[in-house]
Amino acid sequence: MISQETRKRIEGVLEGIEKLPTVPTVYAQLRKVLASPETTSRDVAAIIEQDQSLTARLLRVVNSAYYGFPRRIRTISRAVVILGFNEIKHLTLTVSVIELFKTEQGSGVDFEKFWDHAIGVAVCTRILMRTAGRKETENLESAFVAGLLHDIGKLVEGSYIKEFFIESLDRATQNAITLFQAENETGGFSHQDIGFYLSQKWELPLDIEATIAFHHNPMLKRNDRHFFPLIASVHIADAIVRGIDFGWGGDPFVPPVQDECWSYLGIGAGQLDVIIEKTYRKAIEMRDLLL
Amino acid sequence: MICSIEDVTAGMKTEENVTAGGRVLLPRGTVLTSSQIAAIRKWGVSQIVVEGNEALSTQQMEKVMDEIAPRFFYTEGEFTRELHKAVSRWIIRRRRQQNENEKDSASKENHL
Repeated sequence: MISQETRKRIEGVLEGIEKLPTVPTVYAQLRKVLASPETTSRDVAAIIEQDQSLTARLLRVVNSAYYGFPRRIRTISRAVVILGFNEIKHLTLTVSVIELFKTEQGSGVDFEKFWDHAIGVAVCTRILMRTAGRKETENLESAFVAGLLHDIGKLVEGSYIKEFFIESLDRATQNAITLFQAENETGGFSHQDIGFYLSQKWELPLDIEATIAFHHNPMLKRNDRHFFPLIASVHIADAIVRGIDFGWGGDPFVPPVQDECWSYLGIGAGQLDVIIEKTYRKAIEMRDLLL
Repeated sequence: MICSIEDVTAGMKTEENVTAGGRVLLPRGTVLTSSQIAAIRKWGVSQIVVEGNEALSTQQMEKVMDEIAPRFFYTEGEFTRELHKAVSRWIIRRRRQQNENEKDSASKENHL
């Protein structure tokens, strides 16, 4: 985890910010009711339907080619029955967080390109986990949203600590280094730490929190058999999406890759071509749906 | 290389005739476009034989690999090498497909 010192520094930086976003309301409510075993799909639908724009967006996503259901899903409660509680919870988080951080707030940075990268990593993580055929189905459900949110720290920086963010971006460009490296040089912390801070504040699922906090140093979680498959997948997906230059992550480089993550997934190099094609195609589809 | 229709993408080149019910839908050597893929899908073709990675010329590969080498400046290792190659092949296929599309629209214009 992050050191006491880093934590203090981040708290110091973020302290003055009163409007650091709160966890999306509908997601928070869902999390609460889903903790009870007696919750029904109607309960879940009732919570989501309070928010009309969220409802419309969710229905659009579940009716997309991405899910490919043969018949039109007309109501949220039907979607809950078909997709299951967890998938709906994750989709709610996906749609709400994009809404929250969709537009840049005066930092002059194009957030849409960051979201393109995030969406690319989200679909690629899911493709990798499916290809690897691991049994950790719980992780598979988290794959999309973990990929989507892995760089959420950058968006928090771009929205709430703009000076730091812009300075880091400039440093990365001028010295031709990765943004991760530049952030550490600028402030002694990075988007991993900021993202970790936010995910704790929001009480995000622990596997997603771990991915946000360790996607650049996955080997620190090598012995964590619950989280490592997901962290390793996001680590590799990040490299693939940077490799095909889809979206923007703040610098033009593929971040350093730990080979052990790739060998852990047990996917043959010959499958990379198909993984790349699928990632690109699905990412474009998803971008049109979500952004 | 035998390729499932699910994994076939525009820009791939057929290495054998694509047939359905004894009828040749596409001759061998066709650079596939997305509308052609959709069409053979409708014919119920489940797999076709496409040109494998080894068929891409070394010269072409080297050129694209050099072009994108700066992206890989901060990473090395087994996976990075494979990714570098796979991305280069992907770029070659995409460019080939774009060329094909341009030829296509040029020939349509000529007809008009």
